[in-house]
Amino acid sequence: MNEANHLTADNLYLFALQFLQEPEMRNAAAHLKECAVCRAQLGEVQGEMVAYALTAEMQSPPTQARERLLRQVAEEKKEVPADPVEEPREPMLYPRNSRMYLMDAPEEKEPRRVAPVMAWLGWGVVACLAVVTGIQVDQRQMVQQDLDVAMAQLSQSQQQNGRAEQVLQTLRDPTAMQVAMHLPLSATAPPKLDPEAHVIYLARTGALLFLADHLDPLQSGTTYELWLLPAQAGQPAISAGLFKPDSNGNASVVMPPLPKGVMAKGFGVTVEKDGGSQTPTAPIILAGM
Amino acid sequence: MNNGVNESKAVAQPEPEDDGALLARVQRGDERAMAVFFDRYSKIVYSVALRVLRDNASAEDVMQEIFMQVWRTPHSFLPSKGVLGGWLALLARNRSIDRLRRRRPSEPIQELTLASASNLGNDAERSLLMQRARAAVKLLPIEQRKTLEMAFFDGLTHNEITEMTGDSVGTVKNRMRSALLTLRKELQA
Repeated sequence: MNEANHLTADNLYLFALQFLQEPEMRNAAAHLKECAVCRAQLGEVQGEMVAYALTAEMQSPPTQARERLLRQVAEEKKEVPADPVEEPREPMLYPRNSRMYLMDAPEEKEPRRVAPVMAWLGWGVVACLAVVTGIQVDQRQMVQQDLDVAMAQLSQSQQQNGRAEQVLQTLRDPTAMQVAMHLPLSATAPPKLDPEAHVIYLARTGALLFLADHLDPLQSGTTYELWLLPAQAGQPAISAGLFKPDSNGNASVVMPPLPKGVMAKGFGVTVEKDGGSQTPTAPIILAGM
Repeated sequence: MNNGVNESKAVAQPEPEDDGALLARVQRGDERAMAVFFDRYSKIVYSVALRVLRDNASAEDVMQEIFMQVWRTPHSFLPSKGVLGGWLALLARNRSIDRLRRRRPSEPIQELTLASASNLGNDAERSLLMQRARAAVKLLPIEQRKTLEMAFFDGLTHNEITEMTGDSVGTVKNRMRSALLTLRKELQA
């Protein structure tokens, strides 16, 4: 793509909205880097998008967000040079730390001409080598920094994942010991215990853990279904998973797929046909508000 | 805005530090400059991210990423007056869409020409622009408004919108373009 082959109006909008697919996205970016006309038009399109972005309902961020940011800023203190030199920079198509930026890194300007010719050539070669080396060192440092950050995040994630996996295994493992504790009523005859269950639910992330015991055995072709009852009036109950108890009446539902951010006023368990139901079927076996 | 007060005789208020000076302070590692940046633009960034993601925690994460990008690479942001807020708003939208689609951040940033000569770093000007933009959007035909909302805030591509609405790709593209053009004209009027 060259300057004569301008982006179409449609592609300008699709580029601005980030809807172009590769390689069109890359081609468009390459063209925009060279073509001031299209760049100006894109600037106008992005200006329209900013105005539209402002139609979002304005909400203040949580109060702790400011503290969180400043804490991280403090943790990433910068090494400031003794005599910083401000360099005028061209507008960038990509953030400096992106892969696209690295591939399109701008070249340094040609050094000044001096006589004699051989000296000029020599200095030119040295300058070129210095520029290339500088760019490579700069890129290597950025890549190394990115890598260090990614490795640290990976290590932290692995630790968290390991712990989460252990929790999940404990909850799901049929051989895990599950004990219901209650007041001993009689030393000889165990009491008849009613079904009961506990739900741990985090609305912000949609994470849910459900543990039940003393459930009655199900008839063939039926299943228990857990329901989330939204707090917002008029919203239908949301299925939070199907489950069947084991021979001891124990069952669990771990991290069923639920939408995030749904506040719950309570939960319920019903008996449904195998495969579940769109809506809860009476009677409700277990309920908690 | 005048509001019936002769501005030349009004009590002098300390001029807020412009974005360029703030970015220079950030470049020098001044953490207090980041606090000023946050106070100035966090509401825009958070609101746009929240509108896209519809999840407070995720929107806060996106906001955190964006402000940390300012801290780490302040030189990649142009300090033109009033434009930085627009950049950050677009960055919030793009990062949020990236998060929705679980894809690598790859927002292309260009020189920005705001549809209105407003300084988004100024609360009063920003508020006025918001009101005008919302009024302009209300005037859009419902199909254009819905298409633009699906594309910009819901991050649905033109092809996905086509699948959902049954309209042709050409129609969807035309609606998106017409809606934004109308918005620009209304704001420049």
